[in-house]
Amino acid sequence: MTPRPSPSGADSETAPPTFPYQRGCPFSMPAEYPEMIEKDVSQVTLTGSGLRIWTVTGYHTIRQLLTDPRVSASRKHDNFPFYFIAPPEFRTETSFIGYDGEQHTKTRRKAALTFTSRQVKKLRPRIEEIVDEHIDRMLATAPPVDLHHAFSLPVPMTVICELLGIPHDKHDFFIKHGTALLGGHSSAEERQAAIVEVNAYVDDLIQLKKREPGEDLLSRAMADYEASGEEYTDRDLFNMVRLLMNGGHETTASQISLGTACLLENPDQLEQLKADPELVKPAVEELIRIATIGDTAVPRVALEDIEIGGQVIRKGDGILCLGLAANRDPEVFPEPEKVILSRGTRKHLGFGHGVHHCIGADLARLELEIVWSKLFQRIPTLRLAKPFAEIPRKEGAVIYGLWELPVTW
Amino acid sequence: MPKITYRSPDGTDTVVDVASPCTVMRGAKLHNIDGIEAQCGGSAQCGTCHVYVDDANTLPLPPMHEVEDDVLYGTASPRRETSRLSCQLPVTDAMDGLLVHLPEAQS
Repeated sequence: MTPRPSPSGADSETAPPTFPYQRGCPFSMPAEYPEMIEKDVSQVTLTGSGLRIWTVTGYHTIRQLLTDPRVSASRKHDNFPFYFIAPPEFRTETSFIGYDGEQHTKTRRKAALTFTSRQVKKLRPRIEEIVDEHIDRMLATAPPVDLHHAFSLPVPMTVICELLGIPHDKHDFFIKHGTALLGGHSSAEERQAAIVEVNAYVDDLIQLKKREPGEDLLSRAMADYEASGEEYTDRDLFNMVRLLMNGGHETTASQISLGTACLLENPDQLEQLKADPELVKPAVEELIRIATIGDTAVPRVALEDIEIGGQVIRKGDGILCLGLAANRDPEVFPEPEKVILSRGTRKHLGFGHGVHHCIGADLARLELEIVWSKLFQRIPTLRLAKPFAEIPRKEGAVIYGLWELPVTW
Repeated sequence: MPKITYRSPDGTDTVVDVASPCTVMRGAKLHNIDGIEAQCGGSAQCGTCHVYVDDANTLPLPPMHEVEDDVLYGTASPRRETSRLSCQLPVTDAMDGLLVHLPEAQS
């Protein structure tokens, strides 16, 4: 593999260490992070792509950088921090996560009205039903049960399917394929087949919504495009659906399993939560902060030279904003490695920051709130079915998580 | 460079030069003005960069998109006729002299 050009400000004599690192404990930073935090802005080489890029770790530095108009989220730049050698379509078929400026604003707005706090609140009764149905199904089987597959993966998939207007008789199709893609028990061929089938269905779904528009996100996005007079293609709709499906599924599923494991591993905190249902809202924020599953998922490129954190990031250089490091800033979160549910605030960078802040943040918060309220209320004796240290983790994955979560009661 | 005035609830004015491209929200954050939280950082999502544009304002402001309108229903301080999310107000030269009032609370 030929390394790409190094950042211009780099010391080209010494190759920087390879990245990403392993966490070890899912609720701790990799052992390499404290030294990076000391420097705030430093350099690494991405293992899979050979790209030399900058990492930024400071809470305030990241917030500053992610609101800086000289920073781009476009995948088109040569040094965009891909973790692998990206096929050309990865640079173009992105939807709004990979757009800048006006193109980003216009495209994101086609979906954003579904995800405002006010709209998300209306979904509470339905999400409660979905969570209850999945708990019912788990309770109907004999423990142990893999909570990740029986609950964490299907619950958010059902929610996002409903929002996108996917007919009910197709939900099992998406749950099955979503699990094939993310569940860790499938072969490369099975995963490829799942991608092909899901993509074919999304194409069909777009045609279906053109013929029979409904009250769903996809129909509304089409109507908004028509009303705005902007040019758009089926690819734009396809990419938006795939983005929302990916963003609304794996992330929430990972957070449900990791947060549940974290509560079970911190019984004093779990007891507080059981005793005080009001604690669930700050608990959601604290568990998002502790896990920061998107630690390595905030890539950017400098459009101009940017002086920050005592370094000059040169025009064209790739940047990763490491939210897990920022969420361990002791000035912002005293004793940052401790899980203290009652202190949870929205200050953390678990959903990113700036114009690309997670569009589904309020939906995720509501799903997690309902999940952790109901799970421990309805299964108060829930516990791990094997030692936490033996549960396999997705080390090095762009969205961190667990491969399984065996539980019993 | 356009000057923007941020008036706090106790009547104190802070006047800052805001270089384009920048929003009224970012102008406040860059100058450490209390009273703008901007938890989400400018994606019209959290409603914590709420401002009241001065009643007497005649300077041109961009129209409100329905996403901003929806978020403004959930702000910590009550919504008024003049409410805007400051992250949705990109500063232009024509906005030189804009006065915005900061609300009592953002969250």
